[in-house]
This record gives sequence, structure tokens and C-alpha cells, in this order.
Amino acid sequence: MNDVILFGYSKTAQEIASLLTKNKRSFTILTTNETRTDLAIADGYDAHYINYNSDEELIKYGISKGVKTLFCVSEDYNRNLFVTLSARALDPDLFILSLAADEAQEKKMILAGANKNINPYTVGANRIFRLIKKPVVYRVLDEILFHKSDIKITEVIVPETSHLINIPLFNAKIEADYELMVLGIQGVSKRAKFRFHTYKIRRRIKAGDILVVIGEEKNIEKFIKDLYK
Amino acid sequence: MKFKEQLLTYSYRLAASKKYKKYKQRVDKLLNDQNYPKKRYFDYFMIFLVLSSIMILILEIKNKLPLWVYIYEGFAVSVFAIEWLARLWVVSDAHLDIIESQENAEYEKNDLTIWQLIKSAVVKKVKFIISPMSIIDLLAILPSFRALRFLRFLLLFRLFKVFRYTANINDLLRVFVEKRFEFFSLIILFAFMVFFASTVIYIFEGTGANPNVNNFYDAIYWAVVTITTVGFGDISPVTPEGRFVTIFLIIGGITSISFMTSIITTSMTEKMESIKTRQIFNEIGKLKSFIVVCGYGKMGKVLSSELQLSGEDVVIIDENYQESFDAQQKGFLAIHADASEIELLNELRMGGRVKYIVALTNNDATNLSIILSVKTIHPEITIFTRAVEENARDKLLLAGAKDVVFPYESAAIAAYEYLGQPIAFSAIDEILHEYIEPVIEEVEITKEMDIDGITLKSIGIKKYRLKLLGVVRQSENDKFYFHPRKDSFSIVNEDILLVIGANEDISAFKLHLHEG
Repeated sequence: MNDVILFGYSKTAQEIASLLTKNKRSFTILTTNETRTDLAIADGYDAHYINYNSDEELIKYGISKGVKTLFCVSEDYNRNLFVTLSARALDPDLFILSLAADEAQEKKMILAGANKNINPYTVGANRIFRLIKKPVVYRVLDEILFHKSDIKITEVIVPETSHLINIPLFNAKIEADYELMVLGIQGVSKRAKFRFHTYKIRRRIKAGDILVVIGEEKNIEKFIKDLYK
Repeated sequence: MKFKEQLLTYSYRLAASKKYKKYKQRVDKLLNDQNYPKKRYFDYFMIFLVLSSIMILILEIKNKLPLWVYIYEGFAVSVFAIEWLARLWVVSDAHLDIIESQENAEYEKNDLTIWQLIKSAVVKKVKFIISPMSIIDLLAILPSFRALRFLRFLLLFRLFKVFRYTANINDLLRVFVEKRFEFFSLIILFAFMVFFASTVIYIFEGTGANPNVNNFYDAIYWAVVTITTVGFGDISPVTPEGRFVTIFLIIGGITSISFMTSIITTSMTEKMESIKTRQIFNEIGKLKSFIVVCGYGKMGKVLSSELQLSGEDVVIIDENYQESFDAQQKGFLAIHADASEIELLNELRMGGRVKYIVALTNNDATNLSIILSVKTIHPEITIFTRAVEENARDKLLLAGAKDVVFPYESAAIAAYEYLGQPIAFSAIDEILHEYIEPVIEEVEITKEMDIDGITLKSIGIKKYRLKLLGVVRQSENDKFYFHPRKDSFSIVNEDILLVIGANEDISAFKLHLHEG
């Protein structure tokens, strides 16, 4: 069974589907509109028609039984909201990302149980804003994020056996030893906030912490290898 | 013949003189160009002269005024005269008309008399002289001369001169010209009713039944007073027939007056919009630099407010009245127009003032048309746009857009990143936001900083608690040096440092670099 489900086959859904395919992730598309289902099937995807208010069907396609991520990206906001709420009720640990077109919709969606909202128009507008205001930063970060150069950004989980455990972040010498840049650190607990590594963080590294590092691929691999030794 | 030769040489000399052309253009702008910033001061000055000279006219009737007042009056009149002459001067290019006639004649191998040579030039000037505004100008000047003293009451025409300097009032008055057909039909109707009613009353009451109606003029006077609902009551019908007519006259009067009022009010409201638009254009004219956002839809709204928050001046153009109105309510300079119209783009005088235009309408064809229009008149302006359908992207790039954003794809990428590396992605997203600290900023190394060749270690990155993501070297074709070693990497002029940190630390760091 696939662990990613796309609810809806809107323009955004189509783009996500092609990205997932490109990155060899398998997924299932569920829609509430038969022509959309046919379209998705014609595009070569595993697509099914469902009745959005039936929990049984959601369970049938894996919600609460192994699906880890649900994208509620249909064109109809109210149906996205409905499916978000149903899925959250079925599985409290599911990662749900939903479409929302404005602030009011975002608030409702969070209340319904979505982990993250995404608004194509805001994302698009932000992109143009950055192209205007910070073109150089934007180009560089774009290359890093979307692997257009040999510099990558990666999340690394610190294992229990690591030599870094209990060492304050600023003393860990990751940057000097591996020619990496540590962007920040995220604690295990759900409440923990991401902390940027801008100046001396005295916080000691714990098992399960997630380090966000940027660097050349070979250096990152070397770092991970040493971390898990 | 000699005079003709001289006139021609003189004309050619003027046509060749750049200085002459420049001065003439400047005067023309001062007198006639609403968008010319200095025109405002000129207008205020002229309005002041007009009002003060009329004040003198009123005071003069019962008082004896000191000498300086008359000197001032003389000054005002000479300014009016100079202004009129200047208008006569700039209204057409007489020397060019003369040259044109001459060249046409040479082409047809004719020999022209002096009159034939200057005819077209003179006709244009005369046309100006007999135009209504010019006559008002002349009536405001001429009675001041002693010989024409008896025409002093005509000096009141100066008041009409004020219209020349107040474009807004002018706009409102233009209502009467534009709605002339409606007004004309109304006047015909009015005239018919007046004529009918006065004839009837004259027939029934003019023969002695009513002592107040002695002639046909009295009857017309009564009809007009009644139909306009003024009703002085000095003449009132006494015969039953007369009263019967009056009933219809009053009803007809009220109907046609309300009709007229509604014509005037609706067209004035329409005009109000063009007045408002002009004011917005004036405001835009004052901006030193601004960004144009075409289309105030979902994306346009987000982008405009982000740009405004970051301190940019934004001008919004939207074809939809409601959207442009919304933008105005939000405090933007918004124009209700089609952004792909070259005429409109010209009117905005973007040259040198606009760095970016963003075409964000929800129609690929419209965006394409906007891009091409802008590229036609200002190829140097950078344009960003969005694609509604993915396959429009190539065409938009071909038309000259610097970058095309396909919002659904951007959203999909963001969604996908949450799947793989949610923490890393939100971290990057966060530093890209201007208002959530830390932020990432570009710091360009300039010659003035005088730090060419110095290693990174000694410029104070650590002191200001910043983190260096990397250096973009413009001199090496924008090569990106990721997180370079602080002790061995040396800076070159024009390098761009990408630093992450708190806003104030970055500002302090920049200041430190500039002060050395």
C-alpha cells in the first residue's frame, strides 16, 4: 500500500503528482469527481473515485492503516476541509497538508486538523517578491533546495550512539571538521521550536535531535557516516 | 522678394536650433501639460492674480484706491498679456508650416507669393485667436486699456480664466459638452412647452381677463417662471382655461427638471472618476521609483502588500473596477485600466522610474500582451509574470519576461518538500521572510569600503553574530562560494555576502563595513 495519498486532482495536485513520480515516490490519488478520476488514470496514475464523506473508503485506501501523508488538494475547499477532519479523526499521527486560499480558510483548516496549509497564490507571490527583493539569495537557496548544484540541504537525526551527544552545539565543531554549515537544530518533542544556529547555542545535543546541515554531498555523507559510527 | 528670402532663412534657422525647440517645449509644458510638476505653481500664481484683480475691480466701485494697487493691476494685466502671447506662440510651429509650404511648392515647381507661403501658419494662429478660451483671455486683458475703458464689466471674464488653471472644474463643465444631445432634446422640449403654454395663456388671458398679462412677452415670462417651479406669483392665471394649462405646465416642468437633474448628476459622477484618476496620476507623477503590479487578484494582493510593507511604492493597474477600487481602499495607488494599453503605459512616464513590472492577471493572453506592450516602449524594465496554464510559460519567456512563476508548481514543490525534509524547508522559508528573524540578506562589497583582498575573518562577521552562507563573486560570473573558510578566503570588490542574522545585527554590520 502507498503511504502518500493525494485527495483531489487540481492543478496543484497534478504538479505534486508529477514531482512525486519524478522522485520515484508511489502514491494514490482519490477524487470525488469521476471525470477527474478518469483524467488522472489517463495520466498514468493510480486513481480512485471515492465518496468523500465515507470513512470506510478512506480506511480502505490506507488512512489509519499505514498512510503517513495526506495532501488535501482538491479544488473544493469544503471537501478538503471535510476530508482533513475525517482523516484526523481516524489517525492522529497522520501528516496532513491542505490547500487554503486565504487566512480565514487557513485558520479553519488548522482547526480541522491540518498540520500545514499551502496557498498557491501566496507561495507564487512570495516567489516573485523574492525575485524582486533578494534575487541573489533566492537563486542560491533555490539551487540548494532543489538540488540544482552539488550543495545540498539535509536533515540529520542524531543517534543515541553518537559522539556528539551532550556536547553544546557551538562546541561540536561540525562546521570546521566537515566543511558544513549547520543551519539550526530541532528538538525531539513536538513543542520544540527550530533554533537557528546564528550565534552561540549552549544547548547540548541530545539523541533524536534533528540537525539541518548544508554542504557538499560528499561532506554530508562523511558527517552522517561518522555520526552513526 | 527679398523679404521672402529673409523669412525662409529665418524659418530654417529656427528649425535647426535645438535651444529654441527646448525653450518652446518647456513653455508649452508649463501652459498645457497637466503632468508637468511645475505647472501647479504656475496655476496657483495665475489664479491668485485673477482673483486679486477682480477684488480690485469690486473695491474700485465705491472706494478710491492708492496708486500701488493700480501698479499691481498693470502688472497683472501684463502677465495675462504675456501668457496669451505665449499661448499664441506655442499653439503651432509657424516656421515649420512655412518650410512645409515652401517644400511642397518646390516639389510642384511653383513659385509662391508671400501670402501663399505664410497662409497655413497664419490660419493656425487665427484659429487659436478665435477659440473660446482665447477670447476669454482677450476679454480679460483688452478692457484694461484706456480706449476700451467702457467695457470694464467685461473684466469679469477674467473669472472664467480660472478654469484654465483648474483641470477638475474643467472636467465637470465638460459634462455639458458630452451630454449635449440629451440637453439639446430637453431644451427643445422645454421650448415647446413654454411656447405652447404662453400661447394658450395669451389667447385666454391676454385680451384683458388678466391685468398682468399685457403682451406675449409677459406670457412667456409667466410660462418660464411656472415651468421651472420658481413661481414668483406676480402673474397668475385667473381663467379656468388658464389654470387648466397651468396644471399640465407644472407637471411637465417637474418631470423635465428632474430628468435634467438626473442627467447632470449621473454624468458628474462619471466625471468624478476621471477626476480621481487624474489625481492618482498626479500622485504617481511625484514618485521617484515604483513597482507596477498589473492585476489585483489573489497573487497581486499578497505581492502588493508584501512590497508595500518592505517600503516599496506600488502602483496597481486592474481592468476590473471592483478590484481597483479595493486596492484604493487598501491605500494603494490603483488605476482602473487595461495595463496592456501602450498609451496608458506612456502616460505613467515609467522611464527611469520603474525597475520592475509584475503581470499577474489571471489570463495568459493578457499577461503576454502586457509584457509585449512594456517591452515595446521600455525594453530595459524587468518583467515578472505568472502562468495560468503551464504550457504558456515558454511563450511568456519568449515575449521577454525575466521569470515566469507557475503558482501551482511552486505550491507543489513546497508541499513535496514537507514530505521529504519539512524542518529544513520551513527553516529556509523562515529566513526568507523579512519579518521573522533571523533573516538572510545580501551585503555587497563596494570599492568605498576599501576591504579588497582582506580575509573574511577580519571583517567582523562573528562580532555581529552573523552566519555566512556563502559569497557570490560577481567578477567570476556569479560563482557561488559556499560557506568559505574564514581564515583563507579573501574578499574581492563587488562580492555579495549572503549573511543570516537578526535585522539589527545585519544593519550594524553594514554600517561597520561602510565606516571602515
